Amino acid sequence: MTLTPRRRLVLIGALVVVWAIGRAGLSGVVNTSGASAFQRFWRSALSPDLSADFLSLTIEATATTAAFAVLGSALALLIGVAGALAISERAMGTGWLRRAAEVVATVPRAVHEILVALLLIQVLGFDPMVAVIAIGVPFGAVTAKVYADALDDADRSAYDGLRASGVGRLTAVAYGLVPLVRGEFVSYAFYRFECAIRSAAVLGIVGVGGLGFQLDISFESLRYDEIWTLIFALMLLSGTADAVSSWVRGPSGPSDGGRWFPVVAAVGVAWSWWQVGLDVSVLWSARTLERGPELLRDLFPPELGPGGWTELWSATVDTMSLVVVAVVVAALFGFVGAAVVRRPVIDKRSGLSAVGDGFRIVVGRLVLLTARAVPAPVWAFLFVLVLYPGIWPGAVALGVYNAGVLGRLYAEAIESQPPEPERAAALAGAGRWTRWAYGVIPGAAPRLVSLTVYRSEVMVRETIVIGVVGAGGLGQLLRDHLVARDFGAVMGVVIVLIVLAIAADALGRVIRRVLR
Amino acid sequence: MSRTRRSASWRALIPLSLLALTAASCAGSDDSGSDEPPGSAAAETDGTSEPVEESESADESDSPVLHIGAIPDQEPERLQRTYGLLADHLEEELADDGFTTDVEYVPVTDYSGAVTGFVVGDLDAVWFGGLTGVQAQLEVEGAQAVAQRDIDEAFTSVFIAGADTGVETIDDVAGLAALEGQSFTFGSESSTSGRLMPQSFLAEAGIDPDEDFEGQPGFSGSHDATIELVAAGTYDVGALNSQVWDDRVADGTVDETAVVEVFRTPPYYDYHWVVQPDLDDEFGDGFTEAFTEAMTALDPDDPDDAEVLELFGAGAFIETENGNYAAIEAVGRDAGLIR
Repeated sequence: MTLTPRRRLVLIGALVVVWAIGRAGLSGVVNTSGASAFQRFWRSALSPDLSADFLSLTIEATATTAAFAVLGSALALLIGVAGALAISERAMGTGWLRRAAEVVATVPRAVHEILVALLLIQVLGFDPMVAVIAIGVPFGAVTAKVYADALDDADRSAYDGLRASGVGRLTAVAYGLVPLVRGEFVSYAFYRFECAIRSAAVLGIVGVGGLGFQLDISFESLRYDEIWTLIFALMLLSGTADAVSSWVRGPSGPSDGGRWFPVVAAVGVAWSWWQVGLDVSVLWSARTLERGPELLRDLFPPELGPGGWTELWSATVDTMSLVVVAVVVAALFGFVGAAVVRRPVIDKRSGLSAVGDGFRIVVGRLVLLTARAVPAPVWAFLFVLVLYPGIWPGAVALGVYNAGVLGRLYAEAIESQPPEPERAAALAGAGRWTRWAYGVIPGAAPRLVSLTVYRSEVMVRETIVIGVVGAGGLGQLLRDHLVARDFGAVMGVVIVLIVLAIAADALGRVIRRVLR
Repeated sequence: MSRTRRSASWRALIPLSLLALTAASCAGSDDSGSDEPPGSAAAETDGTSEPVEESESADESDSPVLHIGAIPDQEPERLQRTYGLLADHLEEELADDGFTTDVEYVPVTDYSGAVTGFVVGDLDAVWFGGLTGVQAQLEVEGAQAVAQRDIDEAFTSVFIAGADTGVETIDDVAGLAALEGQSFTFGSESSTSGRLMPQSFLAEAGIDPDEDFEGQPGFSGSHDATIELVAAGTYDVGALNSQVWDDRVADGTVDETAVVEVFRTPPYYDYHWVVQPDLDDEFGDGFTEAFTEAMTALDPDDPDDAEVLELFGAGAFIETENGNYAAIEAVGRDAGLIR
């Protein structure tokens, strides 16, 4: 029997999942004696610390996190536009220069913001600029890629016309393409901002301030009541950013093609600049000029840690199996979440069941929001209470956090499907499950798989933020080397992470091509 | 005293009110397209009040600021209280010696963050653990260990075990071999009492944490988290700072039916103050000495001083020098934590 490429892919995928679960192990996974501490954490949600002092601290931290996200997004936007011009074929032609720029742009995409921040504090200290660059550079690289694709995919008639009349490439792009893609650019900028909020929250952990910083401090002494106050602040911030982003990107958003955007961006940046007291001169201060080259000398050439290749290899394999299990968890819970928060397509409900639907949707959204607002390291600590240390708690933590993100993206993807197939199935008398199987899934599947594949690449990078859980892997190795201040070995692990991320990216492209 | 480097200020309310506005317009339904993009309200609030003074602006005023830090080995409230009081004490004592300076405590999130802060020069004087102090001395040429507590000449760690694990009381270092096959957690990766010395004593007993425990050893991140995870049964055994353990047992926060002490290690050198080499250039000749004296001058008979000492869990501070930590350095190199 020969297999179609699609079936072969499914088979290989299944084998990989079985392998990963085998490596994680299935015996002795659940630790029931940790349940009481786990429950204590959730019970504390009902009694967050609402003292005036802590609330004012939380408000300030929330503002700082928001400001980091705004400034980081602004930098990402600048880098994104400049980078897009450098890697767009229409702006740069097809020469080696464009090719080189494209390769350069893949590297920052493969590095997690936390890692950038950890290295930057070695040079800049605990300066707000660390957070801005740590968000701005990796996000800028992704934005550049997306913007370049948009430029190269846009309707080319105006551009060709200008080119034919002897106009230079850049001018032709500016007048022939930019007006076409401006709305898309703004929409994507807001999506990045939404991600930047979550990123800024976690970034505080390296010590630059904001909610992550306070969260880490409250975590040191396990002050669950304070942790919940901070989590609620994160949910509010993250939920608001998501809502604004959805509104801007949705059909009912502002419709003048993004002309309002520069004003909003300028005000946001000005306020954020002031809020965190950003001082650009740290970039060329005497200390930076001394510490920067010093750090580079420490980082290069990359080295192996004391454990050699064996350690690096086994950590890499652990990380891969952790990611595979995490992707499965994220996709499963994300899909269930998306199904729960979906608005009914068929309006034949009585008032009572409409209320029921509304309730279900609100609760579902809150659960998804909680999943993505609680930072992954916090999830990791919680799951290590109830799952024995190893790959499982880390994978479940990463999975649940990403289920919150994926659930939201899945829901958007499903909602953008035309409702006719499902209506037809319903009219033919199909029940809920049949309607899903025949009316919803076939149309949405390619997009769902695409989203999952994109997110898997992110999850490869995120494995480094999972501490505590005893999962080993590259994250633990990286921490070992950082603690020993062995930056050559740190760079060694970073290179493996970059290779993994690039491999995941390439694999993603293969998967998408097979499924197309 | 606030827990951040800067106090909360009214400015923070601006984005939140904006967020509330936009949230209100988005939460109801997705069809509202009428509201203003965020931004218009910001101008109105502008200038209604003076910004609260920040640490950065304090830097630029006449008197230089001494930034002190500490590894986060205790709960943040206690650190805040300890170093708030200590900052007041230092300002007074240094002023008596003719050094007018503000002293400001800068909290950090983890042990290696304290080292980084010192290495890049954000922190002028840091209360380090043994290992982190040695790392700081090695990275910053000329950095000096100046003072330690009386108890730091003979500091200890405790090993704790879940009550239902069947791990029995251990009499000597060799007895740690009995922990083979248990699951185990350290505290922070760079903790001397929560990682380095326990690992060293385990090695003495012939136990390699990567090979001889069940699964990989964990790093709970803090002494309190170690107690929590062992009490929860996540790990069978853990090691932590004996001072933190004794405090938790004394104030009744430890569930002694769930977790028990099974071993107390032999003594070793631990915590100490390390200061930047250029303090005298920056703050005036004799500053480093004045700082050291301000620490050793803490007097248990003076009620204010006694409170600071009590928070440090010390009878007094005594002078120290870099050479006292040679043994810690050697252990650190063996453990691969100093490379």
